[in-house]
Amino acid sequence: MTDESLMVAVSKGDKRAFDEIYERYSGPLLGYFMRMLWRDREKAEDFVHDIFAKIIRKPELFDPSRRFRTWLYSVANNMCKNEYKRQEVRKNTSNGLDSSYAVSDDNVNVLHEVQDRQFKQAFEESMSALDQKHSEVFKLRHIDGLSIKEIAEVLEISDGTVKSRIFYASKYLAESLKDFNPVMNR
Amino acid sequence: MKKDIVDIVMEKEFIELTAEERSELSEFCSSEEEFNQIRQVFNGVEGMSFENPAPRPETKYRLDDLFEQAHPKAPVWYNSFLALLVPREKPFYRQPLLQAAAVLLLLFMTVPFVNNNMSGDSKNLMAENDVQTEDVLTSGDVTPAPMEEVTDVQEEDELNQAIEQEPEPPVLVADLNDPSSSVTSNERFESLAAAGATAPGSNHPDGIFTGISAENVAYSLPASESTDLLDLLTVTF
Repeated sequence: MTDESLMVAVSKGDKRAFDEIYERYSGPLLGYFMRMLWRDREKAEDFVHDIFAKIIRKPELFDPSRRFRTWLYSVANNMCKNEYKRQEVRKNTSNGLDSSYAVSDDNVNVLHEVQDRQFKQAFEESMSALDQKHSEVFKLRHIDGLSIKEIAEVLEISDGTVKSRIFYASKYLAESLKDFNPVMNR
Repeated sequence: MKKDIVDIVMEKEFIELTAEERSELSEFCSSEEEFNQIRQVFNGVEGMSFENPAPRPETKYRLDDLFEQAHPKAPVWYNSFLALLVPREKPFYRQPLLQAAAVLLLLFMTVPFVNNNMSGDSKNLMAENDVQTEDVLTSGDVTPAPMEEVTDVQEEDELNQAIEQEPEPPVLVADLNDPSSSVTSNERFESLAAAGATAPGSNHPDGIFTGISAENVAYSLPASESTDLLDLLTVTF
């Protein structure tokens, strides 16, 4: 069942449809909010609650002509912007690897695992050093898996701007992570 | 889903790019070396596993409570059949039960009127027929239609013969209420019947009296002729 048809069912009070939507998006949204809200897990949990509460209370806010995922991330993005305004501070990310991002257990090679961790750590550092508008686009594309068109809709910018920001972030990361070429080439 | 430029960079080598793709990429990377650097970053990031943390169960419980409040469960009686008849999501004027009730009410209100009109028409028709019949009966010059003339001819002849054979009936000149009359009541009525039957120009529909006998008719007697009744009427207290 598509997200859009599930949302129609949710608007009619279908609890199972809501559970399915929650199952699909609660994790990615929590990850998104944690990335956007300075790794603050409590705040991210509250935001996840708030965004699903909006879906419950006002399902009619969703326009069925749009893609649900795009709409959901738009709402999440606006919530983050409002939070930035409230806090009046920019993202205050902690350096270092976030414990929430578990490293895959598939890699049995210890050397590769260490290299991956180091690469991830370096990646996180580089991303935190990158300005928000570029890192946000890059994360939406590579971590949340949104397409360029979807990112453009979420952030209300043009496709060209999204591409430009992605490639700018990529060049920046390529430069800062050039020591990890063996990892990147694997 | 259409592949965007990031997918193309990750999937293709530089030499595999089409002219159109190269022109699109030329805005962001000017050389093959730059292209390969970007490609390595993309693939490296894609290879990283970013497992999203699961929200705490409490968050889901709170949302479940909220859902229950926003969409209270339907009562037991609100089963699927009733939900079909009275769906909550539809406005009241679009609910099937109300629509069916409206149609039934409409039928209930219109059918009696239709029946009344039909019976009124038949009554009018009957009234017209009555008037016509009455006109026919009241007009003097209209001769009654010969009814069963063929079958009754023989019987009529016999009766006429019988009548001719009988003596001429006495002419009633005496007062019928006169007790002193020598003619008894029975005789009077019989003679009357006979007179009616034989009287020329009788306007009785049948023209004849038949089957009248003294036994079938109950005649009243003058009180003077019944002593018991006379005693009862003249008793003095």
